[in-house]
Amino acid sequence: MRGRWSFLPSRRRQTELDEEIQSHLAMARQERIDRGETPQEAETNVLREFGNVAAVKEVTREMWGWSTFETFWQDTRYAARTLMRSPGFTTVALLTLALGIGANTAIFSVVNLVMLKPLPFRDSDQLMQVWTRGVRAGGQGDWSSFPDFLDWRKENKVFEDIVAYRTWVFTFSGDRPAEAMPGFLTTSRFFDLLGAKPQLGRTFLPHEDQPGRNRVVVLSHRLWQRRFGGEPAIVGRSVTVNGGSYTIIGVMPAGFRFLFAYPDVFDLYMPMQAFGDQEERGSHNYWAIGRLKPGVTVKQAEMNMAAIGRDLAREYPASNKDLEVAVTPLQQHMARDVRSGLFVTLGAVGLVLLIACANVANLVLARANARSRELVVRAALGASRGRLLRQNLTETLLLGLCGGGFALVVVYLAMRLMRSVGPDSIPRLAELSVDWRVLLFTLVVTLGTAFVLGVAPALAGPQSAYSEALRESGGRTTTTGGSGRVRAALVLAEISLALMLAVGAGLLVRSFSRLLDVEMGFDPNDVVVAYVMAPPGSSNPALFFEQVMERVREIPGVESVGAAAPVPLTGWNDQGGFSIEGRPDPPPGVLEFHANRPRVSASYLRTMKMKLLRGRWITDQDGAGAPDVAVISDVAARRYWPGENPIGRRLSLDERDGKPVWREIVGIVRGVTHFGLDIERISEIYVPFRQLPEQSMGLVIRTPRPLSELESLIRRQISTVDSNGAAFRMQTMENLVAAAQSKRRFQMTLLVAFAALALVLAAVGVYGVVAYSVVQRTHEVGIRIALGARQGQVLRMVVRHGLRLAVIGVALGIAGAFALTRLMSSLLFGVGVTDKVTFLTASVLLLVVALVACAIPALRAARVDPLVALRYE
Amino acid sequence: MDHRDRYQNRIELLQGTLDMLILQTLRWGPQHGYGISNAIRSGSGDVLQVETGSLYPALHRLERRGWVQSEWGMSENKQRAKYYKLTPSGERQLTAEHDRWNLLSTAIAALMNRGESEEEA
Repeated sequence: MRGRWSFLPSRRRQTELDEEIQSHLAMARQERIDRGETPQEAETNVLREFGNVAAVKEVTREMWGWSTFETFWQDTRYAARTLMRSPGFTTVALLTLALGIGANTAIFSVVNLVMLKPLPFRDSDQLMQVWTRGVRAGGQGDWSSFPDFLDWRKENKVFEDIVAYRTWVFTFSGDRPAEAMPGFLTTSRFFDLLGAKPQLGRTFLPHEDQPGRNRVVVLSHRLWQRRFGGEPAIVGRSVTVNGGSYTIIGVMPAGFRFLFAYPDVFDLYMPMQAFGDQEERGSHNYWAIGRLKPGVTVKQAEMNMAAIGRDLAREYPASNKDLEVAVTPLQQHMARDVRSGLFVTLGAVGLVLLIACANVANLVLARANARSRELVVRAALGASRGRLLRQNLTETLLLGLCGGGFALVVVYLAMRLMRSVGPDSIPRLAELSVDWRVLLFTLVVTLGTAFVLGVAPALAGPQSAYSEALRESGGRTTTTGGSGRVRAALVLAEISLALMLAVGAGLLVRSFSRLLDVEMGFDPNDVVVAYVMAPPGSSNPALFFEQVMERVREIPGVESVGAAAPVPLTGWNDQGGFSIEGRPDPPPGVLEFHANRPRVSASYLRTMKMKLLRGRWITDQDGAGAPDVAVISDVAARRYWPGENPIGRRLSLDERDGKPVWREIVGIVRGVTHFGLDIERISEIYVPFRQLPEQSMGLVIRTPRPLSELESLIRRQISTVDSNGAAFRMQTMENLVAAAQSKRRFQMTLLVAFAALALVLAAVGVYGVVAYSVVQRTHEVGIRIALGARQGQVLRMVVRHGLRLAVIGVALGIAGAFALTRLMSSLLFGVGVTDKVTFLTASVLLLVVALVACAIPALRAARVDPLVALRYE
Repeated sequence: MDHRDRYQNRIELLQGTLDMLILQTLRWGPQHGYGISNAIRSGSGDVLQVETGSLYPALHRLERRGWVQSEWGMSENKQRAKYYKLTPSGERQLTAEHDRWNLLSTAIAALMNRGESEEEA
């Protein structure tokens, strides 16, 4: 041993010993010379007196002993050699650990991104979304009204400042072809509040959002590059936006993005312009963000804002009764849709790691049994129990660390995959990366795993292979009883955990299939959606859209064209109140008449393949000047005219010359899933677009031709109508539907993958334990066969052993699943947390998997040759 | 191999006693290995000859246990040498070993003397 390891004791110590002995010899020599001996005599005598220099060094060195590090190094080298000697075991263990740790880290990296990694703004933990909660009558969203915002800003004592913003569509025209794009309208302190600095020029000055001073814009880096070629002298240039003249005052840096979860990239920032809804407390079209004063907690802010909300509700009951003001940290607010899903996923992947650990611990135990002879020898040679345990711990630590290392490869691949296929609903997914938090997580998980693995054999208790090895003085070293029981318990745990995962995944699969079955109220196949802006300042936008529809219909392959504002699943909506003739407007705070109110063309129903249930649809005759009409959805009919025939009744949602416009209900259509496939549909009122014109509409185009071929054709047709008309955001309806499913699809795919992984691991675990017991019982099986047992009986005996484990595991798993699935109730759609079909299917699946895992060793046992078996030993 | 075994045997024979003698020698101040071996030899009237093969392992063992500390210094003859110094815990150890030694030698002496006196009787 010595020679092989001695390179490590530090060289310095060696030289010191050499010097010490040289100095001893020198002093002895000098003394002899002083006494009168000749140098030669002195030399000879000194050496004789001293003895063998090399031998003295050797015995002295032996006193140094091993330092802790040297022992560790020695153990590591030994562990590495041992692991390399059994490549099968090592490969399976490493692969299992790498997958387990890697999957956990990958999911954690998403959690980190969404919930931990600070937003890229100054002191971003002080930024709060301030919003209106308790939307009445089934409305959707977190918007607030502008008058409320102004009062919040004035009355609050907790925020340094609050800013409001809204999204808007802008049309650039003038020097180059008109181009429409989404952007932000913000109050003037928006950038200051975020702490965002421009790359060129400046951002908005205080009060630059006031009329007369607000004719300025700030460009995104992308727009600057794309439309202005990165022109350095852009600041001060005048541009035409929405028909008006604006001055470019600044360009934001490339990395600046604000609304991360939104599918669009916003390219333009404009100070707030005057809108009619800024006077209306009932119009919720604005978002607000506040920055906490130093030292103010979220709780304090919540209390202050809640009090202000109560004051406003008292003062303006008509619009504000039952509304609350909520304060949520901005990051949390952005993650609100994905939080619970992420936690469930993290929990699920944690279970996978537990199963992986159980499996590797099982392997370690099995190997410990196989190695007990080696352990006996090492114990006999003087290795202490502590040393053997430490040796074992080193081995599993090495295994764990290597597993963790490989896990990073898994993480890298998983991140690439998630960045490309992850749903838009996960904010900032493009920023997904490995940072120190992710590395720390990996390290902690890896060390924890290694520790569990190392301690498992020791926990196997007095019956463990180690103790047995230490107790038995040699000879036969089969292991029975104790460690077998521990391994069985581990497999039991694996089966029950795998079942829980299978149930969770099954519930999501069932939810998703329900989602696919949702009747959308229209046919999304072969439909292209393009938002089109009428020329800015157009006096007759309805005419423009009519002409555009006509021209687009001329494109070869286009079957029909319709227009609507808003179009389902695009994230746009127009919710609001309305009145019913003959019924008093509801008292404030009581259930309001509330609906989504699309303006539509006559061709819209046909193009979307919506279903007319009663009466008639809107026709080309329903123009300006013709009798005012509306078509309602079945949801609205059931809700507002239960048990009545609404056709012929009148409702009003707009005013003309200061008087309400009463519209006769002429038809009822099947409602559409406007907000999302899994969101309850709200009432809809369809109005002819020519009676209530809009500046922007969504064109729906039914055609089998791919979008890529159509895009430029559509743009060209629009510009032939008016060169200042512009289209933006062209998508296929199928993509919009897929996007509406993507969050659930992603969630489901992850959980199914984890459940599959868990099943495979559990199967390997069952196989391992049963196969091992078969090997152990070969002798017994041989005797049974020799005594006349038939193959079938042996088969049954072995399978019964494995199945008993599986049945107990499944029973435990069902209990666990009952306890755990309620945590994922918010993720389910159309199925209950205790869905019988799911529980049953998952249980049967696990039993089948366990059966297959038992079958292989059972068949092997049945084919045991009694002669060979009896000779075994 | 032969050499090594020989030395090892002697270490074991001498171990406890040699440790005590070394610690005792160091009570008068720091000393290098050569000096310690000289001091033991002359202090015992040339009766006890300390083998280097025992001395150096003993010194290194005492150092590892923390009973002595070492430091490089200059001898009277301007020779660089490694000096050993008694530590506080070394002093305690010396006291303990000294007590034990007294006990042991008294006991042995009593036994031996009784044998002698019986023979005389």
